[in-house]
Amino acid sequence: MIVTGKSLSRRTVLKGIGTTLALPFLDAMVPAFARAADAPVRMAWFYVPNGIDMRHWTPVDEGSLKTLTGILAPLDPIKDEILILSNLTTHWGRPLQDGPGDHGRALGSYMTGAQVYKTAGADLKLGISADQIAADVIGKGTRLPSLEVGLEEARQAGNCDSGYSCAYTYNLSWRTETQPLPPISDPRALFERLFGADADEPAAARLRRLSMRRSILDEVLGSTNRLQATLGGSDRRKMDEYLTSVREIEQQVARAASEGIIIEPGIEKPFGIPVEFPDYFRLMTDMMVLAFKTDVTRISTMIVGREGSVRSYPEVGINDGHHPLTHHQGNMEMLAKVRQINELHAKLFAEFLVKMKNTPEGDSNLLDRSMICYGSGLSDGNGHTHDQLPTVLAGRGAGFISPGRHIVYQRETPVTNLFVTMLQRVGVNPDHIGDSTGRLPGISLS
Amino acid sequence: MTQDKGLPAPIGVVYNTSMARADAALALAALYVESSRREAKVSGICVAGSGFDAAIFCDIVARFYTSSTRVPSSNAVLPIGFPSDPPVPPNPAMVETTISRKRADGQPQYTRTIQRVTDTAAPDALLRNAITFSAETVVVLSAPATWLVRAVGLAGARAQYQQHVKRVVVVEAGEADRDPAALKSLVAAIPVPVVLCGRDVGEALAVPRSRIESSFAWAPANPVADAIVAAGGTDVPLHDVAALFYALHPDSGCFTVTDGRLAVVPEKKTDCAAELVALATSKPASPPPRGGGLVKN
Amino acid sequence: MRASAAGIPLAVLLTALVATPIGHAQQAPAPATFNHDVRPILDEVCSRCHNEKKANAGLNLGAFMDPTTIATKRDAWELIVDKLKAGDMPPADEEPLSAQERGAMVSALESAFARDDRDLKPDPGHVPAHRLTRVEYANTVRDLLGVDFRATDEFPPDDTGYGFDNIGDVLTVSPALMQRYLSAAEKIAARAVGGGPLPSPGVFTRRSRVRKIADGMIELKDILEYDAEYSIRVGVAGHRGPDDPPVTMAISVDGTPVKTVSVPVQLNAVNKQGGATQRGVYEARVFLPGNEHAFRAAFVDDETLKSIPAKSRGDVNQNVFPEFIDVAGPFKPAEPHVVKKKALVCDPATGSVCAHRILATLARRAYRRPVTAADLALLNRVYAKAATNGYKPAQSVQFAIAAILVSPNFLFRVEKDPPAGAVARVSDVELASRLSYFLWSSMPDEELLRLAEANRLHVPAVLEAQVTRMLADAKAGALAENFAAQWLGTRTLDGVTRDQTKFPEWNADLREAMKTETRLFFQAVLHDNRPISDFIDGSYTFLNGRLARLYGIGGVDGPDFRRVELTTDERSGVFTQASVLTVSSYPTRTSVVLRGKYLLETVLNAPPPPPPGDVPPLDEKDIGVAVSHRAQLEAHRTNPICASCHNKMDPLGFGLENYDAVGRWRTKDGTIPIDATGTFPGGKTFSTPAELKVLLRSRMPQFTRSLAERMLTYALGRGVEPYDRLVVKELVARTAAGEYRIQALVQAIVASVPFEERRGERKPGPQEAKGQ
Repeated sequence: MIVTGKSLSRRTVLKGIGTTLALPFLDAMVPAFARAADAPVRMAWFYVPNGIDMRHWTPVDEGSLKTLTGILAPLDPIKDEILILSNLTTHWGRPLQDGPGDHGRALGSYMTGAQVYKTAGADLKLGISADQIAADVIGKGTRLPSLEVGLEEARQAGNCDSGYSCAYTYNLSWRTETQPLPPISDPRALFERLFGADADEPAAARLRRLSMRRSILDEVLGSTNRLQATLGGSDRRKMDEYLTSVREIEQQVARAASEGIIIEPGIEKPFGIPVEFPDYFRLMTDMMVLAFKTDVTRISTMIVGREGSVRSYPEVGINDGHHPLTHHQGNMEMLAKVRQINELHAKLFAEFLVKMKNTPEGDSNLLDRSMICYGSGLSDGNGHTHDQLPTVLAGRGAGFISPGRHIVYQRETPVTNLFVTMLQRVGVNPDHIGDSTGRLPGISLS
Repeated sequence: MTQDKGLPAPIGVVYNTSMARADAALALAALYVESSRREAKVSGICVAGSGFDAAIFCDIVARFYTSSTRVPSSNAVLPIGFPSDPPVPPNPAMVETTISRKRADGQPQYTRTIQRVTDTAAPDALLRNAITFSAETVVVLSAPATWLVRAVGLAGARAQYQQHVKRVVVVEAGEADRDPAALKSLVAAIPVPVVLCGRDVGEALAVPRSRIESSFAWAPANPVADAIVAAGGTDVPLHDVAALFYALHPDSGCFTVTDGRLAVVPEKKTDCAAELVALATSKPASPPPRGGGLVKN
Repeated sequence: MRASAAGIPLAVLLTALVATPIGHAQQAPAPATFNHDVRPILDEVCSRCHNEKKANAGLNLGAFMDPTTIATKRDAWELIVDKLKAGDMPPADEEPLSAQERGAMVSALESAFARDDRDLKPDPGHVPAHRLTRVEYANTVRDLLGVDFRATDEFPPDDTGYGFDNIGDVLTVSPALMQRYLSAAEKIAARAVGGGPLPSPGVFTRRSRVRKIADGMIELKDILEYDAEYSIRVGVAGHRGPDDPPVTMAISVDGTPVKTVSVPVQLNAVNKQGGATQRGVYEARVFLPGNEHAFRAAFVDDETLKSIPAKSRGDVNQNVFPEFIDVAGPFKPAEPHVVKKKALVCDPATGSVCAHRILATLARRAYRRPVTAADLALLNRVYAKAATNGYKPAQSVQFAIAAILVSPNFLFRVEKDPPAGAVARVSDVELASRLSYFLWSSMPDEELLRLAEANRLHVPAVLEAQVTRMLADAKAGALAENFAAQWLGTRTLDGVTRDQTKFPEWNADLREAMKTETRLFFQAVLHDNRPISDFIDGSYTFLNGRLARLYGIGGVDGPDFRRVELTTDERSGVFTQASVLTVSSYPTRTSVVLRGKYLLETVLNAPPPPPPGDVPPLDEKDIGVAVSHRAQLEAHRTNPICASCHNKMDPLGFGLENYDAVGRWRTKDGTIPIDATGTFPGGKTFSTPAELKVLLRSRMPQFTRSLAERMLTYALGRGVEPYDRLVVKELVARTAAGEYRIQALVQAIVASVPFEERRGERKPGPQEAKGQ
């Protein structure tokens, strides 16, 4: 229990973290990248579920963006920082031979471009998601290889979408074909993952404690290896997952010890999940901004709601669940409510982009140095269509993206082509990501 | 859905065509007729070797034969593949009548949903994805092999082809050899049997153009009929129709295969030609009624 | 309310008599055979509807004419036999089979089943190394170290499979989780050992967690990390009239009053002048050990409250009430308090001998087996390393305890694997863990562990006695908390929302009350070893004031729960409890389909297939206004594609329409009276929920089978597979033989092959001899 005199308002938390971390950390530890040049480029993916009212999303004209209206209206003030991409597709979201389950497939195939193996139980099989492909290569350079954040807290017991396991509808990032990376939805847990649990100790005590942690983890690794020799088949695989996780934590501890960073937020962690959704969104994205700013990580995913989310949004006067509303079959009233939800998400996303823009880094700002993708694996939530997806790419990727335009691609262009392009910018050159067919042209005009 | 429990699933067809000859237009019509009878399923149409208007033509035929009024954002309407990289080949003359035909009030006679190049699909993606739409698929190549070989070369595509594709029929008249290197790599790379439908087959099954035009009398305005008229010539050799028919019904008795080459059974020549024409010029079967009255909102 | 024999169709009764020695094909008269007794009927009667063209319910019997299909399509054949025995097929509007024909068919098929099964080698299945779930972790930590740890707050939710969160194959460890395990281990170890330096004190507020329990009573539950003195600060707001007497407020911790204060209620001059809200803070200071505590502030003997209308009781200008509870600390206690720590069997300050003893004792209990030299060496190394690093003995022990808590031996239940394909009994020690995590969701206690170490646990009489003992222990509440909540789906109440305008009484307290009712009910059935038919129509339940008000039952007040005997037809059993009715509804309305599906799945063991993709939604505006819900849903039945499933689901759901979306009884939906009539599968009709329950009662075998499969899944930590078929049959038989009492089912599960044995996957390697 960390006791302080402050109450737990979110603003206090972030103000506190921001001021204490920014200056000592950046100036003392990594002066190099504060001075532009080879500044690290950040990538983030935001996923919104259940599709979007596309008639109020797609701009009429291609080319330079004129005033944005409809759902994209909140992004109008920063339209010079975004690209709107049309006609992207998640082919493996389609049923093909597998019958119902479009939500499980939509989310599963979005970042992986892979076919989602239909099961409600143990034998999950998908593919590695784009962010993890990148994390495998460039993740070693940061304390956390990647950060998975989410805004949906309750999990349902049972199969989540017509025979597709809940693992498929809740997880955006997949570490391996069989292992999803669950998003952190508890603000306190996120705080701890970013800044550690032992925030208040003096340096020497902290180092001693870190060294003890390493010993413990070393011993655990040793005893697990011995244990594994007696196991076979799926037991061994389970232990493997465990070992990989232990090794990764050990590396983080080692890095933390060698870096000697002192992180003292100075105030209490967030206590729980804020009641109002917009506050929750803001709290979690504020921490994402901080994570980028302090270079704790350069890769992040945010799942705004799980696919098939039934969240209601009383904050904007909508008491019905999101998912049932998106099966409107043309009913105008329901469609209007869906649009309102889409607009709320877009508005909150716009706020996040503005925060990134207002976070200076060297002679530039964080948004200029990032590539943020916002979209969904479904376009029309009513018909469960998986092509002509809503996609926005924000930021400039440090001189790579030339934003402020609406680009319409040929139909059936895989959305994974966009991810290949993003990854190439940070020096990761995968053969392919799932079903990608190559780069996405037109993103940068250089 | 759960409707057709007893019947086998229809075979998917991927048709890669230059849409420059009358028999290509007929083959497209035949494909939709077979699809309406649930003997086949249109998995993907890709244009290659011709200009943008060929794609518009394919789209028009698709809308006409499926009486589909749903907007392109729906999953049920497949996009047409078209390579948009320059240099873009010229538009085939045959399709111009259909595209520019107007009604009495000045509006276009035939509805189309393709307005711009971006309404078409990326050809390599389409040629890979389309074969996965059915458990069993056949591919008819009647165009330069450039894009098909690229599609097969995409990561994981070869395995998909092995799993789904039953046979590939290459039509000689479609000028697959306009890109000989691609054709060679294709035959080497593709893991399923490739059958060549030589020019001799199409010519053996040639039919007088007048007979085809009269068989289209069931519709006052038909996009394929317009194209047949515009294509001109006295006889129409049925290259693509034969290839499609063989691909869907290899045991029809009309053809034999020797060393990977198709040949027409001489005694069946006239009957088969008549059957092909009947198929291509038929009215599509009506869809089964959807049953009941669902509560409308 | 009990089902009577007269309710069961005569044909079925006769079938039961005719088809007597089922399972053993030795019958004196000509035995019924497939070709003689089954195929002709399939051909003439059944194929009228189940043929290639028509294929009702997706079944085309054309493929079933061959007796070899009994082996290849066993599941379908079992379904056919079930339907024949229940009288569901042929359907009521077709020509029926004679009792003899039906009996001969069933007998022929069941003999074939038995023949096939005789040769079936019992396969206990394989569960991989089974990670502890959050709940199991928290319970184990509590039992091992006496430390309260809220794993549900600290760890991410467990992935679920087959409807439960304890499925071995699905539970994984990600780096994020490992990080949490590590920090949790350190925190828990610190609390387990105690005695560390106290941080500087401060006030911490948990305003959003303070709950109003009743007028004038609020509560805060939280975990304190240190053994120390704490200051409980209660904020009071508001004022009353100038002539009202002061009110007495009692501050208590964990039910024990700590301080009583007198709160003046007159508006003082300054506040009157300035027009400010009157607020005051009252403090009570007390020593508390670090753990979870419930802090309460309550007005006692508050007569004045009765004269204040309910609407005004929250108004600071009309009433006074306790508003918040803050806790400040930790403060160094004035006199030293000794808090006995469960983990410390001796005082670590005395030296390393004691430390080793503590660790050896803990490791055995934490790893749930006798410790090996390697285990101990590892822990002693950690201890020594800490000592070298300058830590005091108590703190060094903490690190070693943390090492225990992140060890795979603690986090996983690993069982020794026989070679691939071979089947072997699990060891007694492994059996003890299986048993305790099944019944207690926690580690084995000393008695269980000792019996296991002495290799006596597997003796049937001993095992049975242990199960009985464990079920009588309070820890068996875990079955209600974990199994029942997932089996009945009431755990999802946490994520449920209701439209506040339609259901203004919906709030966190009502939600909690609903969960508690079902939990206590299940606990009662389990503890009193009631028959499982009580779930359908047991005429008692557990209510507190709020819930009783929802149900319209008088005479129950206050926040605490008590047992209530139900005297009307309106409520009985668990399926008309508010919890179940709420999770099977939408935020704004009831759902006949969801409820019908729920009953099909949970009671009748006949889950419907998933719906097709493009189902149009209901026109909600008109429900209850112009058109009844029922009329709108009739559309399901006119469309033959929809009807095949909805004919089974909708009628059951209609039978529950008398309960709205929070489970309240109603006779009208808006302006339209409720019509709760429906047809049960097999043709019988019902017109009230009570009659529906009578019909559900007639399906005890299906219900027992459903419950047995679910409980078996939970007990084993894997889904039920086709090779478990005989096991499930045996479970049902044994439960029936035990008068359908729930403990008979539990005992049968523990005695079953998959619970006591294990199939191996391990390929024997070169280091075969190296054990753990």
